[in-house]
Amino acid sequence: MEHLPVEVIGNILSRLGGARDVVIASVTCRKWREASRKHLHTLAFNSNDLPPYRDITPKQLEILITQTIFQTTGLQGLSILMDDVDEFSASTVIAWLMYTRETLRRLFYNVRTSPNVNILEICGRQKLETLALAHNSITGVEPNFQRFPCLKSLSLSHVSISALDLSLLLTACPKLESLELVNLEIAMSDAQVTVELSCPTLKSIYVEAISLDKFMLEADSIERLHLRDCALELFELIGIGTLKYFKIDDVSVIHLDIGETIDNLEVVDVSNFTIIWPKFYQMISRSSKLRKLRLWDVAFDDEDEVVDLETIAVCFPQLKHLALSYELRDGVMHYGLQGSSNLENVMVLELGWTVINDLFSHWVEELLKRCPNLRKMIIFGSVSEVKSHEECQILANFTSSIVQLMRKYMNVEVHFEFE
Amino acid sequence: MGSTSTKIKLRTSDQKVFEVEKAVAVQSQTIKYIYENGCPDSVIHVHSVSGDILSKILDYCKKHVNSAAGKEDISPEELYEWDANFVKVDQNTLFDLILAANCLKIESLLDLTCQTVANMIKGKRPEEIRTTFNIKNDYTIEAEEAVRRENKWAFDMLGGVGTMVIEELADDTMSKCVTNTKSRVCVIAANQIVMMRSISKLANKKSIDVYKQPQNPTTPRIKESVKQRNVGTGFIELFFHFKCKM
Repeated sequence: MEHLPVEVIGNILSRLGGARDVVIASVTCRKWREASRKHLHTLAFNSNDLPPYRDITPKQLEILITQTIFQTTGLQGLSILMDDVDEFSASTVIAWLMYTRETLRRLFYNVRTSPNVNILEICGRQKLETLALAHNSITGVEPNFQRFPCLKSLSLSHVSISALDLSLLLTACPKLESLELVNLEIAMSDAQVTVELSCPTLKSIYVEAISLDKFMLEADSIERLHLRDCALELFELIGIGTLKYFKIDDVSVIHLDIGETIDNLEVVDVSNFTIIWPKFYQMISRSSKLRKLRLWDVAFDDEDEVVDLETIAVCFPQLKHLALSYELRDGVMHYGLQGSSNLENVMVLELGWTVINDLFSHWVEELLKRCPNLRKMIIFGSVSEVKSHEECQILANFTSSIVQLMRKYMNVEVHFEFE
Repeated sequence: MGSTSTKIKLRTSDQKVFEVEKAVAVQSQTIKYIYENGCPDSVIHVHSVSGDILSKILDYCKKHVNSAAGKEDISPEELYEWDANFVKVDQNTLFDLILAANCLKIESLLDLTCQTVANMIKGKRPEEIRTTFNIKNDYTIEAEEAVRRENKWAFDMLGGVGTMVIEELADDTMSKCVTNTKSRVCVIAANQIVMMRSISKLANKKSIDVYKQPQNPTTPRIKESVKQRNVGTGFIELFFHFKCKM
């Protein structure tokens, strides 16, 4: 330990996770103190790491954060994530940001500032690579004066920003690769709330809890798209078919367009959605590289529509992971099981029910037959609190039939998850 | 195509020579620089690293190169586990790995090893850290006190997780509590009759801070609402926020 250079001690202390641990460790010996003062690259004040913070008032927190930050030099990462604090005073936050301006590469900040401070204006921009901002508002973005030449990852949560400013902000980040937008308050001048973004370097986007009329994203390098809990009339992705990972969860969207040439999809994960099967099929059918397909708690727009295994087997020969959970109805289910092509590469099968019926075990059996190389199967079931005699009977029948069935497939690992 | 099977020779401080694939060796930015700027045919000396340590490091580099290139079918979770096992070594080896990773500039290995040490430090007090790593305290009393005072908030006794309350217990039960607890803090309730000297002695041995709630009725009472947890010895430990010094 004595041979470790002081910079390495600084590296170690930077990984302690909380400012309190760093301060306490710095008392170990003088070299460690020097490491914490001159070679610390990351400092974090997170309320969920440290229960004692809950008893300290915001004013006291401001004091201790200031005292601690100002004991360091050359800080590269600053994280102030205090969920229980209402607000910090603007002058203090400005001091923290100005002090670290020259060297800061990563900033995580989620406390409201009063009066409101334009964080983007004050924080270090030249070297910033990661910015995660919450509970603040962003106004007056000027891409000519405020450029973020190194920013790769941007996350905005519970932030109020206009659609124009958001789009200008992206133009000010020429290297942006990852964008996260959570619960944004988009201020619009017209009646229609439209967001149009363009980012040629963007690889991954995550959008949660946003409600808009129109969301258009132009991204020629995009690989990951994940929408969650959004209400959109129109979502359009304009790209050149680079999308690999597509996930939508609990989204209501009337017009969904992720492009014409999406042959590179590897993962498609749709849950809590109403699928218009022909349109959906047309969207994904050319993705012969698909590895994982998950259709969970989905409903079909047309009652006669169903996911048919033949199509899946033929269109997605490289499929390794298949997860299906939707309401099984008699006539339609048999239609879906027609054909004889096997899902040769499927190794993991996840099947779920929302309302258990006798069809389910039959469906499981048919699917097992079509997956000759299966290694693992997980059955997800929701069991209602009040069980009628009938429901208990169905559950019992299901259990017996699964036991019988699995005797034929001894090399498949079976798990159950009930909720 | 020939460059994929190029081998590089490395000589360690104890004169052992290792021949490794270029792709593996250039995980080290230092070796990469020397190779690209020096004479690619002769042997590269890695003066500061011993044979044993270099051997381990090369295992690490190989594993990571193979997994990234897809030569080995290993999932990210499996690689993470492999890394976790890789650092399960004795302290001296761990520090040698850190020094070597630092010198050879292998960023991911340096991150991994430094994080391992950080995990060993987390939650410990200075005295414990010194014992764990055999570090000499070269602070003068005044200097140490100055740092503690400057950062009072970090050293202040704020109850928090792992506080034990002793209330209405008999003497021997109380001693058992203190001996068996994993708490760092022990609070003796106002109504507890106690032989302070014996308890202090026990507590000092275990580096437990003892606080006695004063008799003053206006002192804030223990907040009951936080958490209760049953400890194996059958005694209940209370987790709460409470400030009061003896």
